Amino acid sequence: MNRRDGFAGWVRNLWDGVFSTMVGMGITIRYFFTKPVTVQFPEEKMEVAPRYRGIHYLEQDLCIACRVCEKACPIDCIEIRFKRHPGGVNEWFEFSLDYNKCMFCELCCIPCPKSCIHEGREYSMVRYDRSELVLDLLTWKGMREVDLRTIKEAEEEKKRKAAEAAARRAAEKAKKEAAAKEGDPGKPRKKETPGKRDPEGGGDER
Amino acid sequence: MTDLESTPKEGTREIVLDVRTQDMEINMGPQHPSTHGVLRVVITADGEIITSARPYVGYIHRCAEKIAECVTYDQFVPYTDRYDYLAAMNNNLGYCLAVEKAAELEVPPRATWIRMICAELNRIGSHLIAFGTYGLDLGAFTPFLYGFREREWMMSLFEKICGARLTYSFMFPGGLANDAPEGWFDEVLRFCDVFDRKWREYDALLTRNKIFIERTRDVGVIPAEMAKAYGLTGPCLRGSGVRFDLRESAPYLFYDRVSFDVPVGQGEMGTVGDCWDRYFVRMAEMLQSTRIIRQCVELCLAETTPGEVMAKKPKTLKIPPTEVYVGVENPRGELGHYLVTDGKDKAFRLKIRGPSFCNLSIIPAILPGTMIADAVAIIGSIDIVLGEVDR
Amino acid sequence: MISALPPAAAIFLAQGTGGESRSLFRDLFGAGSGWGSFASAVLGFAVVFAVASALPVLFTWAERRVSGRMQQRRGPNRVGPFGLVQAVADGVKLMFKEDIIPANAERFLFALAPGLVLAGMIAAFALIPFSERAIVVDAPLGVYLLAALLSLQVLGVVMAGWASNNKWSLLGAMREAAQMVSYEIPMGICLLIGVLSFSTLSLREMSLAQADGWLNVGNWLIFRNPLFAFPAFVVLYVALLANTKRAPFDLPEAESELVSGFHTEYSGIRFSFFFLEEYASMFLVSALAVCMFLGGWNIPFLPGSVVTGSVGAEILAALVLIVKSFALVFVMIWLRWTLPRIRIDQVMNLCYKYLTPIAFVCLIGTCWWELR
Ligand code: SF4
Ligand code: SF4
Repeated sequence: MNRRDGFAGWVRNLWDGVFSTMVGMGITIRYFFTKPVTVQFPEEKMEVAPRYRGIHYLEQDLCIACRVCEKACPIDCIEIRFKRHPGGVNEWFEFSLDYNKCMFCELCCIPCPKSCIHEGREYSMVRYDRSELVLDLLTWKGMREVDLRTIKEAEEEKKRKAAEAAARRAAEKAKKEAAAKEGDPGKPRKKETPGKRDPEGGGDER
Repeated sequence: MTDLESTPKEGTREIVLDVRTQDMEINMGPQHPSTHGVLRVVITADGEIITSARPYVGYIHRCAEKIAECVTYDQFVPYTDRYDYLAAMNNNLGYCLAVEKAAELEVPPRATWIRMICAELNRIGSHLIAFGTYGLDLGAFTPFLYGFREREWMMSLFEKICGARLTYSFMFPGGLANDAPEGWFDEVLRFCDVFDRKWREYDALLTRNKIFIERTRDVGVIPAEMAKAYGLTGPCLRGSGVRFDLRESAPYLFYDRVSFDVPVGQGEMGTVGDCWDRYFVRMAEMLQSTRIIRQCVELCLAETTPGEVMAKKPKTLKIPPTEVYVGVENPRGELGHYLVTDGKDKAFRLKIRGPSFCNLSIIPAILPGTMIADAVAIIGSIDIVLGEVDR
Repeated sequence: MISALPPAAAIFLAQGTGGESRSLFRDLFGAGSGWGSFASAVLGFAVVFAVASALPVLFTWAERRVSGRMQQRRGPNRVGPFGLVQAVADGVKLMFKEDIIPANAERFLFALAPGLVLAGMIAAFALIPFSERAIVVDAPLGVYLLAALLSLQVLGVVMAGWASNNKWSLLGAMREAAQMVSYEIPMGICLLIGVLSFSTLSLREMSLAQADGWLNVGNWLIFRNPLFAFPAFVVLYVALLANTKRAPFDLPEAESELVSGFHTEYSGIRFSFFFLEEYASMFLVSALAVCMFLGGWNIPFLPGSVVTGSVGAEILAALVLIVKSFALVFVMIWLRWTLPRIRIDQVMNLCYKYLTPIAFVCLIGTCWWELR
């Protein structure tokens, strides 16, 4: 559209104005008769992609509470509190994510050694208060029955081991005493530590 | 008249002997519908004519550069999403290329192809917003929503590949977070075809509209010399007729293996370097982007197989002391990352050269003499993203 | 309260200028007595006010719905069927909102302005002939009175812009003043074409004169004199668009430039006055154009006797006029959602370089046509 002066330019301008307006109106009226593309949110929901990065979920039975995710998060929005019990059991107090801060970057999920923290497909974060946005990802708090049993077993095992060790030590002592009675205290047995003998002893018993 | 009155104060001018008008100081922003965020421009206007303009920035400064010194290289990626939030992929890319150059990482070719596709898709998305909001600035509401309609598809493409719709955190130093899911490339091609058709509609609805042309031609003319002097890059520079595009002049990724044109302003409607030229460079670039994407998809499928998209790298990246600068062509211009490392797992210093920030610097130079309505048109044609101006 | 006074005053004024003319309610109460004319004035005010405030409800809905569909959205669809009650809900909301007067505003003028803007518009409603007898005031100088009342709003807008003590408002008001004063020229000339063709200043008589003819549309002004009246109609329509501050001439409000223009500082009920005025005057100017150029209440291809005479026919006539006006309003909405906004100097250019010359040519052409 080069500019022209004089009457020709005047007519040209007028024509361009009218014509381009008509073209534009043609486009808008065409869409007037087509279907809307919008989605009525609360009633209809758009399907999110399988890889969608939404609110996290945690496979708690796999989690070993290694805190790798906590460290990987750039803004420290994961908070993990737990207590380790014998038998590799964790008593969970808290595994919370602060969604006021979280930016859904997935950096916490990538390094997890057990691949047990994921970003889910839930995205609605409508709450009445900011504090409600600190979500706990735990499916259970504290310990489950299984855990208690595991602990119990582990403790029994421990106790048993302790008892065995005590028995062994007693036996050894008795042996030593017997040897001493035999009148052979200067025997070079000091090099052999009792620890080394323990497995042997255990093995014998098993 | 007393002596006091006869000495004109600054900011006053005489029109008729004893009639004085005073320039009006108007505060445009930080809450103004068309400053594209929280830009504040203090305008001195004589009626509708602007006599001076001073932009003030910094309302959403978030210390991105300082944060880069405090988090590991991988951890900084989500922050790069957030300076130019309309082109998060391109920011990811710029930062990752800088880190990769410093750490000398070898990126798998498939990752590079996908990076290119994503960068170009995001360029389309970003230019669509530029197009839509520009229409909005000039009072045309409808093109904005048409632009968003196509952008929505682009975003769901990203959602499919990386799971996020705006702040992607998809590229990490060394490669990508994921490989493309099945069927993704086909959908990208479909998007390109549909987009090319819709583009013609935008062209008829807004670009060729007489009122739009009248509003933008010969307005805010930036001559080529001035554009270079102010360090403009991207469509603002190319709109002034300077053919400078990092993808062409300093190819990164595989840009040297695909063919594309670099649109430059030609003064088709008025003077070279006016608002219409800058706007049209963006529009033309969208078509070039679909062209690049088509070639990328073809080459990617021909040359690579699904699989590895991440370079072999240690769990925590530690980069020996070095300094690198990598500039990439963001939708808004050259996005530069200047990275200084010191052997630790965190950057010693990261300087980000934001294109919007540099492009914004020309506002005080070209606004005076235009009308208030033009100020909106000019700021819109420079297409700034305040998140990146303030960083 | 002060805002409600000007509309009332205006309607009495309109009644006053009615002089000896006939009107719906005068017949009812007997034109002779003083009380009769007072009662007819009150009733006329009530009817006009009701119509003028009901129409915007419909139009805001239509605007949002139409714009929604043009942008592939849905528009309002929550309140009532198809969101029809949405505008009522909005109105109620506006009424209960806090009414803020800026600290440094000129309080009296600030309060007066919205009423003044509304006043001209409502008074002008009284002059629209919906059918042969359904006209509140059939003033002998109808067209001129209408043009005068339409331009009354510029006073209110300038007042609002100045009294708000806001620079954006002031700029908006200045734009409005410049735009309105300029566009009155082509508008006036185009109205003159109608007056010339029908040799009357009464809109009612113009509508009557457009009945019958070739295919029963031949007497419509745009068909009777297609060479000159059609361009004149287009010019008038554009000028009226500018007059109602509709896009692409919405410079006084220009939300992307002047935040909200002259009503930036207005809120609540006062804002709703401006809002009401915009939408009601959309109908008003459309009805004016219809009465003058598009055959008023006459139905195409049907003889004029169908819409005159009985009460039923006159109701039909009113409906026809409303439908025709709605069509023009639809075009206004359509244009708004298609076009960008013009700059102030281009608005002046368009007026003085394009519309005014074309209008003059049409005027001269019409003179020739009528003398042929
Ligand atoms: S990284 Fe994985 S295993 Fe470790 S604490 Fe986090 S979720 Fe549990
Ligand atoms: S998604 Fe990112 S921000 Fe959120 S908890 Fe995980 S690492 Fe932290």
